[in-house]
Amino acid sequence: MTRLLRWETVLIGLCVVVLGYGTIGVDGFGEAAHISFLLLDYTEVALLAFALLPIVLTGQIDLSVASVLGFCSALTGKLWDGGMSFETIVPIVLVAGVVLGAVNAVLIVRFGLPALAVTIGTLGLYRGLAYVVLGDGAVTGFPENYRPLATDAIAGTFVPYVTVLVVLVGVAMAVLVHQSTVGRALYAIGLGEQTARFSGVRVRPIMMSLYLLSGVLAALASLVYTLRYNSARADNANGLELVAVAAVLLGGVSIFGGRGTVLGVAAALLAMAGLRNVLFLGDVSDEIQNVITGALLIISVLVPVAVAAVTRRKARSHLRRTDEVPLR
Amino acid sequence: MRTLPAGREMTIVAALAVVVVVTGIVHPSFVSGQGLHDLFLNASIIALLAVGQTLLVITRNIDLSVGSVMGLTAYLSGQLFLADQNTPTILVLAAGIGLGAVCGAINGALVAIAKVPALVVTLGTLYVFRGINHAWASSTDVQQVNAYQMSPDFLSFGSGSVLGIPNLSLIALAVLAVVAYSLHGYRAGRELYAIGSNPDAARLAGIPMGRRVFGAFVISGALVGLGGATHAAYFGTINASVGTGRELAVVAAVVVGGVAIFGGSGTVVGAVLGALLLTTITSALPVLGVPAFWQRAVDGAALLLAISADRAVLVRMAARLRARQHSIRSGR
Amino acid sequence: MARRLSANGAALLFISHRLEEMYALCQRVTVLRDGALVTSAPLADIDHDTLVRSMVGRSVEQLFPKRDTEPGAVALTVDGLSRRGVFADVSFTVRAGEIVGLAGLVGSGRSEVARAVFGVDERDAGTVTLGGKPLVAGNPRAAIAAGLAMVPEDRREQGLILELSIERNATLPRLSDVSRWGLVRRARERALAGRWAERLGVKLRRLTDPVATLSGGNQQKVVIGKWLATEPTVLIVDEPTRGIDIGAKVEVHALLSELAAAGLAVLMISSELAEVLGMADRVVVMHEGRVTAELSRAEASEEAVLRAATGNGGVR
Repeated sequence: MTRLLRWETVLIGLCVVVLGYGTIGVDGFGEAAHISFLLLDYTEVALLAFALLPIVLTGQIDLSVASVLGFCSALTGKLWDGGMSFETIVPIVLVAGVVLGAVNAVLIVRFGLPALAVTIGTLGLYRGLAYVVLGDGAVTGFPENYRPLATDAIAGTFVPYVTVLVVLVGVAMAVLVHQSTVGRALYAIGLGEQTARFSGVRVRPIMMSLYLLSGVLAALASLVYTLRYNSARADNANGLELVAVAAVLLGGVSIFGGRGTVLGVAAALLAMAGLRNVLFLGDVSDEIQNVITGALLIISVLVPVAVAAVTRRKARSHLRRTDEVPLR
Repeated sequence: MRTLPAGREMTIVAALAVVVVVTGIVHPSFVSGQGLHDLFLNASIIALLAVGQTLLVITRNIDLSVGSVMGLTAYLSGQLFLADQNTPTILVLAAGIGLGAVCGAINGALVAIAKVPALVVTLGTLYVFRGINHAWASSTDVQQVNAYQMSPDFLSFGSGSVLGIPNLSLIALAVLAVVAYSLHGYRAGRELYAIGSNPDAARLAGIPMGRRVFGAFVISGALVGLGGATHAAYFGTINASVGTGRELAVVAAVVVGGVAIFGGSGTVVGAVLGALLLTTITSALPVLGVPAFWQRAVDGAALLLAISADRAVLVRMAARLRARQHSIRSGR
Repeated sequence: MARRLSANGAALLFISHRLEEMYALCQRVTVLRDGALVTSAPLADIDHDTLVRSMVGRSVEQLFPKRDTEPGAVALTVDGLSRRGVFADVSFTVRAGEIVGLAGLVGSGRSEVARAVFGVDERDAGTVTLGGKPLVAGNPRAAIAAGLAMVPEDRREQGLILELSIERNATLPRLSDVSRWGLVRRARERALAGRWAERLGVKLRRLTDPVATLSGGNQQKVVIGKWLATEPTVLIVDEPTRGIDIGAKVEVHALLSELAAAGLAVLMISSELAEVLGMADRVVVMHEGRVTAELSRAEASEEAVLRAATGNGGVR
């Protein structure tokens, strides 16, 4: 536990450094408009990252999230273009997200297929279906009364409306993962699935619901994305799954499962968004940002390994000697 | 374990045959000499990547940075020609292999020595290498290198053929033969399977895991580097986005080819066949009148089908084993 | 194999705490306790009790304290349980207050039967009745709710989550009971874990320490406590004292006796013959997936059990 807290502290430190440097050193960073922009920029990534968190905690993964977003966006565009009212589109799109998540759930949990391979498959399948639905073009002209919800900040503040959504989702996820019985089950499954099963934890239903939840959150993210950019395209959010995974891993969540916090992921998202905007304002190219993101990702997994090695050396002298006689 | 891969390879060949025959009926030029020539050519580059990726997946690792490494080495090829348009082809290829090996070594060092999960590391290097690629392009202000800037020798190498077989396919086949033999004929190769099958047992058996995994990353990197250089030779146009997104196509090819994502089983022959199958389907779709839109969906569906089929076979094998045990018991 | 190796001149270092094995196989014995050398001598010069005393550090009156009890009503009925390729037509009963030993060689299917009864594994045929009510197949959660608990064979992979804290391990099957409206009440969680750790005498530093820091014997106590906390009417224990020292072993046996005396129905799977003979009121013997004998405490001799376990005994 203490090891984790240390990484979260590093992350928060990183946030402070980035945001501090931004405010002081970069012109315009501290302005309300730019803070809004900063928060808006990573809205969809944040939703996808929160969707991924519980799945990664159980030792699985879902690389299809951005493709679900893409499909839902394409579906939104197709239906809107066909004249359907936006109010009707929203629930349809959310249901589509659930269905796509259910496909993952059945293949991975019910049939026991490896999550990495399956979600690489559905990543392609869903993105492909997005093209089938909408083709190469784009649909624009989404309702004027809803668009500001996705692009604007609450009057008089720098807080965008959608940031409130992200915070709500984040808080709900935090309660689920850290306070609820389901959350306890997640960590148990991630660290010892067999024992969890033997202890009466309902492993399968829980894991299936996580994929359904991921689908819904991706669908939600697609609505935000489509409104924010006022554009529905089959290639929307192409590649965004890697950014979301990077945020989750950078947030200290172990790819093997059983370790990680919502706070860590939130801090990572903030740090990444801040960094991106500092560099953007400093006229540094996208590419350097990518290099830094990648480097941070690698560092994020190197640090626990280094810390563990040091801890193990210390613990060996403190560890209570076992009176268990080893069987050979 | 032999029966499963052999069966899988036959299934892929059968599927290939079906696709080719069906498409050939609709559009006979698909199966003409030129058509088949193009099929093999298209698959050659990704086949190289697939061979390398197989080495890694066998050991329970993965390399998501292959697209970025490929882009980097393709770009290097372009830069070499800008420096000297008559750079010998062999030098360009060697440079690509070298740079690819260096990138592979970086990945390998992080995974094998620091014992950091490959998925995360290569996700990180995916970003870092791509970023370096773009940064290089920006700093030299070379966003694109075109065919006319390269040596004609290089380009004819890329699109040329020997006895009707494309040069690139010959290279791919040669690499396939060497790697396939090494995996079974050399102890180091067989140890890769052991590492992926049961890492703890492998360690206890004294297999130098760090060295083997590192080696696998270097070799895979070198092959990716070769892939990037040959991509430049074939396409003739290079920019800093070459290879973006290839990593998922490579993993798909490898899985379709029967290499278990959990490691420990699968063959490079299968992986190359998987790559060939997926590329063929991609080429066949427009010929069959299926809009190109369906391409990615079909690829994804093929991958899902492949892993489901694998699992079905495994389940049936397990049931048969249990039934045999039972009959032994009740026969007593 | 060991004898063959030593006959060929190899020197063998045989590490065990099974006394019968040592006496049967070895010539010299060296005893270590708490990291220090206690004694080293030819086995011919050390008798059983002295050896035990040097291993445990205190004199052990009786290894298997078993109280005689009057068995009550039938608590668990297993009838015609089958799983293709694993076991067939397994039937037995366990009554409240009795300890039924399930004996047999390794691989005879006992743990598989237990897992099928508890529900972590599927069953192809047969019924399980708990307290008069039939138990659904393949649902451990339902089994726990009905009053069945199982201390599994593999402590480290099935009984505990090593990296998790002691308290979280101890309360895992009872998450809903230490929470309200789906949210875990930490205080209740800690109290429940603490209560059982104390009751079973688990030697620990903090409840929040990972359970991996405990010794084998203490880990086993945590597992047992975890399952006793579900307040079962029937308890299955699979190899309850495997891999733990003699001191903890005695404690576990005393605990099982005490629980049986208080009315718990216990099904004990063990590969250690002495343990089965010492603890069980009745012994059910399995061989290659089938029940080959059911012996009362009086009938259960080493010879009878071994004969049934190797398939030479007549079918019931």
